Amino acid sequence: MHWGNLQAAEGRLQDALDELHLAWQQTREAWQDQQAERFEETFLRKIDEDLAAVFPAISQISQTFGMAARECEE
Amino acid sequence: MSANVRDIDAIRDFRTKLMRFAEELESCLQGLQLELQRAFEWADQERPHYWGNQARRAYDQLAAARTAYETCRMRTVAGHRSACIEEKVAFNKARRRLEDCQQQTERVRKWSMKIHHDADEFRGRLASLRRLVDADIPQALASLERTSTVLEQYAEIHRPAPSTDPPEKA
Repeated sequence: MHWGNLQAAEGRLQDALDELHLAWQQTREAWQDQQAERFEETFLRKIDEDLAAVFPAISQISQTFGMAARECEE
Repeated sequence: MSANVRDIDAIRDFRTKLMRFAEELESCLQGLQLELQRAFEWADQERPHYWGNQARRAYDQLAAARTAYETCRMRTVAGHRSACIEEKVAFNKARRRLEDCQQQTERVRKWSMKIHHDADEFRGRLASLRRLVDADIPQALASLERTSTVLEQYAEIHRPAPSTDPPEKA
């Protein structure tokens, strides 16, 4: 059994997050007031924190599935 | 509170990119859920079915090997009993195979429990992504929409009126 889709999903999430960071940096060059700061604090930090917690969880479950596959196959 | 926005379109562009991010997040969430489902089917159905079949086959092979071994031992050639080495080797091999299959069946049962346990914790983490997609990002998008609209309205009000002076003669 192959569990590569888990790692692929992790890679896609990381790429999407990197793109979002880049987009926000570009936006911040044009939007430099307190509301932008508040938006960053309220929403973007939450996105960062939630994804930061998911990445190790994906690695962990991927490891569990990999070990199970090795032990339960012929 | 004063606004410092050089380009309102930049906010709208970011809103579009945030929407794309949410779509990618949704797609990944669905993919991860599918992988969990696939793991459950593998651990709860496919693997037990496979090792159950292998154990039954091993049991039949052991029965056949035992019969062959015992038949051989009963046989005498010129008053001597055969050592039946090949039959004994086959019998021991079949016995080991059955033991392996029984151990694998138990191992699969334990791994199934571990997979469900770890998957429950993992789903807890995924729930935070689900909240991002269903609640936090829509709120963020609404906030960006409001900001853009207010700034556009402000820009419209403070746009210099078109000049009413007659055009200069060349």
